[in-house]
Amino acid sequence: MPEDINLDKFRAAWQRTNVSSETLSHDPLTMTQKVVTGRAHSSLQRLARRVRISSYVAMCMPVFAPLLVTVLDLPYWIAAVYAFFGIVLSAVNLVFARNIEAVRLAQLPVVTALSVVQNIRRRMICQRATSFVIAITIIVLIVSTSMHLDPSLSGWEFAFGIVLGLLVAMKKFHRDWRLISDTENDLRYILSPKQQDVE
Amino acid sequence: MKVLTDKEKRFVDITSEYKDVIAKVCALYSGPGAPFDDLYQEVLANLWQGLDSFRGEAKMSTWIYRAAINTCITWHRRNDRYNSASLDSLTFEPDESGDDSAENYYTLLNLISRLGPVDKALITLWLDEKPYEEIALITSISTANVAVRLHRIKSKLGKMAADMEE
Repeated sequence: MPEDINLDKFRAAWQRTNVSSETLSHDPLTMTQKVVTGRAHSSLQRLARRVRISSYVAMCMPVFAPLLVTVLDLPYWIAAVYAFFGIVLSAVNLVFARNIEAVRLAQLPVVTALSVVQNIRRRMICQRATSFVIAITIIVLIVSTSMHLDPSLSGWEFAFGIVLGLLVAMKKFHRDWRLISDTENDLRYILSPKQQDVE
Repeated sequence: MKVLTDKEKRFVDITSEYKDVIAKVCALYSGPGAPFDDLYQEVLANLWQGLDSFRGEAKMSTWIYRAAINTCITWHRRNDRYNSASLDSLTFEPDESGDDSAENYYTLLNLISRLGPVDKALITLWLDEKPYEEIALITSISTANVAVRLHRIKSKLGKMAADMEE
């Protein structure tokens, strides 16, 4: 090591080093709570984006509906039900995404923000459960009708499709669940049970 | 008047006591992709969130350093690039004897800022006079390895200084 690099001397000088930044003079508690609220807001916005993408994917269902008639020779009414489900799912998700996007967590008191997030979680569960039941019903309808019309059809293709679909849906739900949980946890960190404002 | 909860009081006490430590770590890791203010706030937010899980098994300073360094390194990993620090926020108070020159100080600081994130963590802890055992605890590197790596970092700094002179 060259002689002019005297790290021990530098170490002594380091003790006399200060950081000058306006941020250091801010109240750490308020600043931190703002940052954590910002994180919660960011998680919520990511969830909104994902719901919006789901809505766009559901919009494709009416486009694919004619294939049920042309490829699987299913009756028109099944294709209509499938397309209708796609339209409804898309609309519901779009409204949900817009509602989430409209939430401004930073502008709400923490208790209200937490309650808003819990409502979103409840709505997400209800919506997903309803969509799942309807989707399963439509799938069973498609599979049973196809196999009834053509008994030579093997059920393996359907089974593969259903398993794949379920895996994708589970992964998506798991990711969304994590986002909403992160949001809720961040807000809970801010909220202190004994916190009170007194005059 | 706002009545602070126990957690809030603890947080305020900790941040006021270790403000300079956190700020110095953040200043060394700040740069074009990582503004000092953002890093500092991120560290405070992580400390706040981790306060409930701090059981006092390690020293408070160890926990603070670990949180600050991990946050800074994670920030750089997340941004997928590592920029050398901009040291604008660091100010140096020269010795009363005038023994050490500010120019040399900033040259060395500049060299340290060019080190990789882990090396920078090690040298920061060494500069803050942490014993090897504590550096090992903070960085999750064995004590023997800390000694070896610090020796290499010092040699590297010497070589960088020599290259700069040429």
